[in-house]
Amino acid sequence: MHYLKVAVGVLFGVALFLFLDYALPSKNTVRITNTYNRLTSVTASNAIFYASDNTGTVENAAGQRDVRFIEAVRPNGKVFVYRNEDTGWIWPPYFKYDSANLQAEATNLRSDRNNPQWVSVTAYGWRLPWLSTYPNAVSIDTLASPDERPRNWAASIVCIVLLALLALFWRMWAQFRERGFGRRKA
Amino acid sequence: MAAFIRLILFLLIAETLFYLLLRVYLRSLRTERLEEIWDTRHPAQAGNTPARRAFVRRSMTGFDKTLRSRLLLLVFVLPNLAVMGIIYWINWQ
Repeated sequence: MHYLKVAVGVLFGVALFLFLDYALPSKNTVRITNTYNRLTSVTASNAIFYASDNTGTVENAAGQRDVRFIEAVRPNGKVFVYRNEDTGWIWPPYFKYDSANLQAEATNLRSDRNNPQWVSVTAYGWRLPWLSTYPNAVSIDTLASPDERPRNWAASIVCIVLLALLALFWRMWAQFRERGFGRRKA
Repeated sequence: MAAFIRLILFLLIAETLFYLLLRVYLRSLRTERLEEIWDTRHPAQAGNTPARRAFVRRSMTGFDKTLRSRLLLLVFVLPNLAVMGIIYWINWQ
């Protein structure tokens, strides 16, 4: 029983970490090389990594969606691909509906190797090539040099708020265990 | 639009639940504190005596009008402000 509890606890911790890693914004320094739309099939296996239906996404009869993409190169030369989709009013709660503007911004910031314009792309999600999933770009900020490391304030604040809520619920639970809803018996 | 209404409804339900839980918690804390005050003031009548119960009931009557329990209504304000903040930072920056 003890080992079962430990195993369940560890699994829960890993699941929580993966959830936060997926849903919280992360910043990457990249150079944008290309922006385009592509018909993308959103299948049952990777649908949860794309925007929910009815967030302004249009699907054709074959179940394909016209998704905006942003191709980028990292300072170490490795490539990276973002998608750029509205999240609308649905999960995850980014309330993003300016993906057309973001795409225009990204196109404006395209640069080549000889004259690089480094940008910091804020995005959430994972790039899983075997499932064809892409992080969703949320905002783009220009950088003076690739060595600049902008602070990820949003994720820090969310983590602090979550920790505070956890502490509060822990105290509330302790108070409930001690006294229940009614008066103390003793 | 349907998604927006669903978001508002969901937020409202979550806030109400959180508000009720916090209210129970704050009242419980205050009740416990009042019992301790009674016990130190009246060591002879300490414990769960009728006198202490009456004292606690009397002292808790105005609790909903205290600053602390009014600040609790921020539960219905702060998450909505956070949502508006996110909308601003994501779409107008």
